[in-house]
Amino acid sequence: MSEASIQALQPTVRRLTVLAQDPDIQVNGKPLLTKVTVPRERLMSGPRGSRFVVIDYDATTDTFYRPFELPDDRDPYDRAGEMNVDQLLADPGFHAQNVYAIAASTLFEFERALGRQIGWGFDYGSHRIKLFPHAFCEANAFYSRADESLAFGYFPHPRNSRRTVFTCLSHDVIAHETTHALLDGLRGELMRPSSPDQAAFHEAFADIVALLMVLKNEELVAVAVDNELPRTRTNAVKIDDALEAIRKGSFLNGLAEELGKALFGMGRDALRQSTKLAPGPGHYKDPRRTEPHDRGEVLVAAVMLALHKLWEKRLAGKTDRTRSPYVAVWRVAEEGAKAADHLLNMLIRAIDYLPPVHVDFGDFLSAALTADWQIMPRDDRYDYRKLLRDAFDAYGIKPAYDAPGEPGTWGRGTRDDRELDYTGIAFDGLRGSVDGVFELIWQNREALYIHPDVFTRVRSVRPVWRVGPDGFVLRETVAEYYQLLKCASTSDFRALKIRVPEFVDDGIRPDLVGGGTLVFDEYGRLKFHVHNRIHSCHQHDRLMSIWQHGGALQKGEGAQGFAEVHRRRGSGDAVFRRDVWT
Amino acid sequence: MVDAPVSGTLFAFNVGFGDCLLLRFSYAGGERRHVLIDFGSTRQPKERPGNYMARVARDIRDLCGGKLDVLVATHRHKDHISGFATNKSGSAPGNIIAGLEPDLVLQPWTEHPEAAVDATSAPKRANDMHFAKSLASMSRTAAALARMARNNADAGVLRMTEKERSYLSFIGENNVSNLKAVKNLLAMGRKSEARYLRAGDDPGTSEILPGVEVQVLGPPDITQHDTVRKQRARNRDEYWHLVATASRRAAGQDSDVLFPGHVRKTVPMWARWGCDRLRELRRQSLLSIAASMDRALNNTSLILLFTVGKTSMLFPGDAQWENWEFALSQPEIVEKLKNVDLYKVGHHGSLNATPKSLWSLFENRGTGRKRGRLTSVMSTMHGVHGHTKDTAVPRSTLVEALEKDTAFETTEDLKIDRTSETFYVEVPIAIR
Repeated sequence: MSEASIQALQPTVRRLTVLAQDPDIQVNGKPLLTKVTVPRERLMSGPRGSRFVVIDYDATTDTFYRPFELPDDRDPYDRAGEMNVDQLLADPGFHAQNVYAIAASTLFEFERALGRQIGWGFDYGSHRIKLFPHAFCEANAFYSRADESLAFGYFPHPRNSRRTVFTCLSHDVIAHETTHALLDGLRGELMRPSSPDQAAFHEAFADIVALLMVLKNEELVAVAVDNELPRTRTNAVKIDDALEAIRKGSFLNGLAEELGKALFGMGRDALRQSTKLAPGPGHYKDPRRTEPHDRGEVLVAAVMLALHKLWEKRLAGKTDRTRSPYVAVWRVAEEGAKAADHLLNMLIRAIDYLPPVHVDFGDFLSAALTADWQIMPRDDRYDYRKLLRDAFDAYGIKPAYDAPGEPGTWGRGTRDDRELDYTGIAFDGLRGSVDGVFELIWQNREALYIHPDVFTRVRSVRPVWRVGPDGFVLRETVAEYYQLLKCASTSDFRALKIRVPEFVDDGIRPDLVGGGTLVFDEYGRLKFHVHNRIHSCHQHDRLMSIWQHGGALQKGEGAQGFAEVHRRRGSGDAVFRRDVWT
Repeated sequence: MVDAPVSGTLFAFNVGFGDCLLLRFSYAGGERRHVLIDFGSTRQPKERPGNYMARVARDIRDLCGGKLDVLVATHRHKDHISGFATNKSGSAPGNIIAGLEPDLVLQPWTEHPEAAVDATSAPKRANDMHFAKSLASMSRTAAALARMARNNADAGVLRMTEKERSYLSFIGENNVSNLKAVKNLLAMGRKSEARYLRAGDDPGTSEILPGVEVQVLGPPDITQHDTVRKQRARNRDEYWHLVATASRRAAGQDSDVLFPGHVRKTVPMWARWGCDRLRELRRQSLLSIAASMDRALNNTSLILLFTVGKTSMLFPGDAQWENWEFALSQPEIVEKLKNVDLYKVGHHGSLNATPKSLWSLFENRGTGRKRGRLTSVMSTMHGVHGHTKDTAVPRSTLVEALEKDTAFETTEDLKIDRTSETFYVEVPIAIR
């Protein structure tokens, strides 16, 4: 049999060994490892595949390291469990595999949840993102759209001068940065300055995905359970104790102090911060939380509360005190990991139901509820959606909409809830053509609240094919359009019936942006139009917020990238305020 | 006991890029009291007489008649305190100032002796002192940045422009802890009285400066922030510690290549563009760290408001928005700021040290014929600070506004050459 034939018979995915979190999370003196699932492909040295290119270059020392050869047919670190920390730290090959495999598995999770391939958001449409595992000697890691890359820094260990901390060995940091890149590919306009919520959303969503990616690992959750509760000789804990610990958040509190400990100084302690933020309805609208990282903490905390609620409910449903007061540690961990996995899928799917611009946390909740409702119409076993609503509500986050069919979900979003006019519109055009979708939008501009005098562009049309947990298949098409008015003047604001922000009178002309997401069913009929109009009455407040926080009011006006966002997260610097002499 | 001052004078020395301000209060009967606010420079005037800073110090001695009443070091930047450095022979400017035996030395809370020199020692007021570790780390970072800019491969690899290297070098040098100056300030404080102040503290000047009210408007300490800001501020220590250790390593002090056995000499074709872009990212990153550190230290500046009768004088050091934000959130302070008669322009006229919201409060702004017109005094030097047109100090739009709406004095107007004998601009202050 030829090699090509053998390749053709290989499964479409492979499992690769990575660190469950980072070298500091250890069991029996050895770093805790796990295996992640990545798409199988024929890699070149680097490794270089169709979506990722690992470049081991260090800009601080101007050193290029030999590209790592990752074999196609086996996991070279299958026996890495026998290696100690020092051996792993000294092996750049393992670093390359770790960064490649975790980034690829994050992409895999997104593609699995969304039911389609996902592209990057680069300006020149490159298919591959560059991963720099040892980018420079600096306590930072970030995504750069312009450079089509994820850069991972390294720095001396804060408490052990003989050791180096490699951010490319932190599972959550890699997942976090990859999520920024993926979200940018899915919703490119979310990097525009908008409300404080939107500024916080990118960072908070990346934190949420990173944490859930780590917490869906049973071995890691088992470590957290072990650390908190005394276990019997048969590796069991008391059911009541386990449920109580979940309710109180003790497992994750304990884990939070260990997870990414060496990176706390970088502000990479999302779990720790979220566990410290006790529920309170005032958090979301707290006027002191205008800085993106402060505000983002509220969203992360709400999701972590939802995780606890789901975990408790799942475990309670899988145990029976009348038969035994004990439950196996693996079972407690498994239910926690499953809750994290479900929540991760639910929240990734929400992205398809988000408006393309001006996202707030209520939008995110409605999007998550709608996405879950579409693929799991019945929610009566674990009440996932109710628990998610309750958790968000505990932090003051309400759904943006409340359609009659299912609490908190989107409605159709057309004027007077009217049907669209499909006369002359080809079904095939709605499944894959930006021109076809634009034709439909133009034909229905009144029903869709489109302002006809403003530049309008359909940015993407993406057919999706999702399979729910019960085998239910959902076919949809998700299209995203946006409207843009560059350098809006006072008269433009008046024409659009928007209150004129004060700075416009001083001759400063901001870009005005609006847009919507259209979700079509498998027959090409509109199910949801999730939108923020360009002529919305909220534009004034958004623009004032951008102005006050020093955001860019026009594209290319020196918007700060994630390198700076992450630096501020560590240093605690307030966002630059536009109270200056321009 | 003397009554309130009947007049005042501000002597603004041209020390190049830096601050050196001697404030004189004159009382009926001829008695005078003197307050020295900062004495430092990072770039002295090009054509200056020899031993320039010592000459300035002797000028200060002569003007105050051999006795300083109060000495203020607004913050630890070199351009504000380098003149306080001493030498063993006793001829340095700092020795001359020490000989003036100030009765009171005022510094921001961040310079408390238990934390300022040895940042690892346990301070008494732990909460208040939290920032001190950050300061020590910043100082180490600054030294590393300066080294990189001078001779390290990092700056060369990154192909920085001359302006960028010069900026990095300036920020590095300016932020390095000036140990001799710091120790002299400490010694002067020990000899008499030292106060390390936060917003709202009593500066202890009421007996030394009769009839002069001195109010501390900033910097706030961490306990004065709201809980949300407090948490962020507390993370700073560890962040700057990481930045410092990484910068030292990057500057080539501790180690070099990570995996010596795995180096490949040539960059393959497929990786070349990526490596070029990464160097660009690193270049931006270093400049950004430098700016962030400079901003953080500027925000430790003391902001002092002197009031005599209805006349008030504002000396904000280099305070920027984070420092001003606290003062401007308090209505009673906002009321007082409306009536400022003399404004020492913050941070040598940079774009963000005179917040527009502060500027708009000044009711005494106005054109030439306005009675009781606001006087502004700026100590600066063009072409030293800022590596782009947008960050250049002083900011041209601010200078235009100062020229138009205030009686504007700048130390740059006083040309210094080798034969100069006068080193200061004299600004009379009418007491109402």
